[in-house]
Amino acid sequence: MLSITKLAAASAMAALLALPSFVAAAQEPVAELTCDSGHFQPASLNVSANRQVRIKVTNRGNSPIEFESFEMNRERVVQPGRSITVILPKLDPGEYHFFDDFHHETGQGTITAR
Amino acid sequence: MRQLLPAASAAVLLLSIQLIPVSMTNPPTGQEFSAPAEVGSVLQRGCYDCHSNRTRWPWYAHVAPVSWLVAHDVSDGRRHLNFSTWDAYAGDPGTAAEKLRKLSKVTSKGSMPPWYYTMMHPRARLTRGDRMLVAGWAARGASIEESASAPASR
Repeated sequence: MLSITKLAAASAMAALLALPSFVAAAQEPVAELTCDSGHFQPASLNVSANRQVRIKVTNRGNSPIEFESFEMNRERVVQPGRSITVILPKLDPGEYHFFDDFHHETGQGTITAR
Repeated sequence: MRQLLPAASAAVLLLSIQLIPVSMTNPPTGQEFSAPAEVGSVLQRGCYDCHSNRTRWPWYAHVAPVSWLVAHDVSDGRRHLNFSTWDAYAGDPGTAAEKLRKLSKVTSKGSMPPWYYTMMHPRARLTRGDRMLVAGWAARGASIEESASAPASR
C-alpha cells in the first residue's frame, strides 16, 4: 500500500515538474506569414528577442515558395496551398532578412527582434 | 618604350589589386555535421572547402583577382550550407531536412562539386559510387528529419 502511495506521489511530482515545459510550449509565440504571387504578407514582422518563436508560413500562390534566411539559418520549401511552421532560433535584438528563394525579385522581408 | 607601357600598366594594376584586403578566415566551428565515416570522408574531400569552416586555402587563393573569386565562392557556399555549424539548422528539423534533401539532389545530379573546382582539385572529384553513397544517406536523413518536423508543420 505504501509503495502505491509513493508511486502516486512520484507521478504527481513528475507531472508538476513537467508542467512548466508544457506551459512554455503553449506560450511559445507563433507569428503568421503568408506568401502569394511571390510577395510576403506582412513583409515585416516583429518578434520577441531571446525567445523561441515559431512562424507559420502559408503559401497561397500556385507555385512552390522557399522561405529562406541566411542570417537565421532557415530554409523551407512550401508547396502551393500548404502551411509549414518554422522554428526560429532565439534571436538577439536586431533585424533579420528573409526571402523567397524561388521569387527573389519580389519575395523579401524582415523580422525585427525586440 | 611605348610598346612596354601596356605591360607595365598591367603589372602595376596587378600589384595594386594585391593590396585590396580579402577575408579568408576559418571561423570557429559549432556542432559539426555528423555522418558515418565513409560518408564524412567523401563530404570532406568534395565539399568542405566551400561548405565548412575548415577550408584549405590554396596558395593561389591569396593572389588577386583569383582571391576574390575564391573568397566569394567560400562565403556563398558557407551561407547556403555549412557543415561546421550544423547545430544552427538542427533547431528546426524542417530546415535540416531541406539541407539534406538538397545535398542528396546536387550530389546525385553531379552539379556539386562544380567542375571549375574539381579542375583545380582533382581529389575532390566524386565517383559514381561516392555520389550514390552520399545521395542515399542524405535522402534517408532528410526523411528522418522531415518526420521530426511533421508535428510542427501541420
